Amino acid sequence: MSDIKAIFTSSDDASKKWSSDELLQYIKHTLPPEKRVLLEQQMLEDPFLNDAIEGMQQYKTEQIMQQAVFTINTNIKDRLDEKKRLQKKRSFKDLPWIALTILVVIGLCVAGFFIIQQYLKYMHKP
Amino acid sequence: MVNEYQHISDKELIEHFYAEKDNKWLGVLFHRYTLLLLGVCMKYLKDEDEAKDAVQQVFIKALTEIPKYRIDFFKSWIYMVAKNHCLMQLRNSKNNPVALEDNLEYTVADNDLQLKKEQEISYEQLETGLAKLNPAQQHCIKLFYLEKKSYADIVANTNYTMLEVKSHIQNGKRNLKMYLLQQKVND
Repeated sequence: MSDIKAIFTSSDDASKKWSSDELLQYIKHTLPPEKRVLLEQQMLEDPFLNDAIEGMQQYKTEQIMQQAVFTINTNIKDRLDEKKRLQKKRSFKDLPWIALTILVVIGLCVAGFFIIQQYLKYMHKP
Repeated sequence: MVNEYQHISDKELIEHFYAEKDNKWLGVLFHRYTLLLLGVCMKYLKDEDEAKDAVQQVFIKALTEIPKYRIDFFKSWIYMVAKNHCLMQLRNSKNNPVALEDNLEYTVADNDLQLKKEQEISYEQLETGLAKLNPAQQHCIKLFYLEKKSYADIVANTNYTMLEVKSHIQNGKRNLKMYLLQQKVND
């Protein structure tokens, strides 16, 4: 039997991160008993974990839930890839303008140099 | 792809995102929470399709919100966003009136309690507090914390239903906590 202080003191495993497989095992009642108790203790302290497991238990079948997870992950990945592609495209689109700006600046510098040269020559003429 | 980032914490992933502005890091982070968020949305919306759509909307919202603010605790933040999204959806649905007063903020249980340090609680205080609980709460707490029985084991060994077991443990622990805090104030 555990110490009475176990009610308020967390064990070393109290912050354990649960994998999707372990959570699904819990739902299917196949998680080993010691892990089961640990997970339930965490559920008492963590409303996110508690709500998630209560919701997962409402799914008719595990397949429907797994399919939903797969669809969400695929859609989000597509969305992130699309965003990345647009960002890249935008940066390529901006490229000619950047090149043009650099050329204009270089052109102005060269022109300025020659104007100053001419001015200095003119000033030093006897 | 996602497994290779298992060793990186949520905090580090979000730091990588803020530093590199690469959505790849948010993708890894979202992937970690898909199943949990689906469970949360299912709990509140009680419909498989609505739950799936809600999680996607939560992620889309997260994509626009995360770059705007500094999120330090992603897990609690995304839970709050998902829960609020579901509650707002329920409120907007005419068929499902729902009371929202206490639900729109996320508080981590036990945040305000300083009872975690072992030395602060004496055995005598705990035993007295436990004895003051009603018999059902006492019984369930002892089975759950001291004999390490799961909810299902407790249901099998008692006449209580699963809901009653959960409620006895939650309420018993809360009452015990209140008793101990009261003792601390009196000391």
